[in-house]
Amino acid sequence: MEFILLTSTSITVLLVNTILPVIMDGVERKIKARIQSRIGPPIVQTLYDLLKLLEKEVKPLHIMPFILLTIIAYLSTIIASLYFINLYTITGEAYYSITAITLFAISLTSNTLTPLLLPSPFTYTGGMREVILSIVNEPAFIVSFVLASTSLRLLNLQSPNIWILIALSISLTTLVLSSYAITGRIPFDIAEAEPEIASGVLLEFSGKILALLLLSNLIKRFIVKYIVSSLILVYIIGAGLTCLAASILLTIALWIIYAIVAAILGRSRVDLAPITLGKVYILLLALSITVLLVGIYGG
Amino acid sequence: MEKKLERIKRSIWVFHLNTGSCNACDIEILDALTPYHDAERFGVKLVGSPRHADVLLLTGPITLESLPKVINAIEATPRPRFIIALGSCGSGGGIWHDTYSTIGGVNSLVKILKERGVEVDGVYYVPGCPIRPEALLYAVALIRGLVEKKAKSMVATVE
Ligand code: SF4
Repeated sequence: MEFILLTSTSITVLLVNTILPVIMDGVERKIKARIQSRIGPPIVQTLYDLLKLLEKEVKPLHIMPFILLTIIAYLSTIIASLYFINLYTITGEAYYSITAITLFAISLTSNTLTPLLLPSPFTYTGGMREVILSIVNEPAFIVSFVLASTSLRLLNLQSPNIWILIALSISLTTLVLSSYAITGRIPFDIAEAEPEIASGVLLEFSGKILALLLLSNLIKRFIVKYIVSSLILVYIIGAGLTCLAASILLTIALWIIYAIVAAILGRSRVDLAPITLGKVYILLLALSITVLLVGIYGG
Repeated sequence: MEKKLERIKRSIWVFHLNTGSCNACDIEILDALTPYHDAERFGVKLVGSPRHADVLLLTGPITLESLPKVINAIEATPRPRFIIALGSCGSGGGIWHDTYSTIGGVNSLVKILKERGVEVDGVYYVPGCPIRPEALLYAVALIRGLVEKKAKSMVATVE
């Protein structure tokens, strides 16, 4: 009975989680428009865009079966990852969060593979940029997630160890930074890079396939914030349905903050963003690991 | 055409196709897309690939040199696809309508497309030299059914 309740709740929330990114993208576009002193599109604009793409013709690609395979792998693993985050937020079991983050890493890899299968130079260039970003971002995201959850488990709120508290703040900063970079917002939008490589990774896709890819990318944007939110809130208010609702609300708040940051930042040189990011990650992670070790063995 | 228009009218993704213009119309397109004119409020988005587009913004007379590439770009646009012919050149060839190096405006292009079996679901005309950004937005509003068509085609015969 409990299992059925858990599964049905997670599936209902999964549906909400799939629709919410589409609406939030509309909100982001509206925020960007307001910052630029214009009216901007309606909040449901992204939904209109996706519905329109679903009705459009698909221009065939000569390696369609492989492309479909990688796209389906991307979409299914990303949705499965979302499902496991829901389970983690409801139950608080650590292995659900580990499964979720593993599935998320697999989904990012299959997404990176798709553009490399195409012979178009623009798509290939975008794909290679995506690979570089993934090499820099993914390990940082996973390691900072592990460090943040370890610090949270070790932290005793009644008498907090100052070293563990510092390690937690550094790892959470790294987690938030990498979650921003994974979403491909400015200045990390180099894989799509609309100004110079004409949509890069997305260039060759049309109609329903493009709609699926765009939807998966939006869910990816949602997941990275959702993982951070549920990690923090499961610790602060404890697992359960309240935590689930609070995580979704915190995800929405984070999305709005990221949207504002993206709207006020400018684009940077293609090679500069990943290199700087890599250096910052190495510094922050090394610091966080050292401080955590001091906290465990020295404090 | 109405039914096909219904499918795209809330989300109009445009691809800029310069077929040999003097660039003044192209500058006006960019102006229409700036925050000042805010074309995005009508669901307009400039895309980098014809495969993503619903509408091709065609500027300039179609030169013989650009014709094969123009046909390729139109073929690459998934259906339903529409063309907005911009400027005197795009609409009817302008002062280049009968020169040796162009085929004229969008009408001659549509004829060639028909011969090759490439269908276009509708053409909108925005005359002017160059077009004003407001005129381009008017065409977008026309697609969305927000405004009335301003002109109709008439053939005058001189006795
Ligand atoms: S219509 Fe006028 S401004 Fe536009 S491309 Fe032709 S000559 Fe240039």
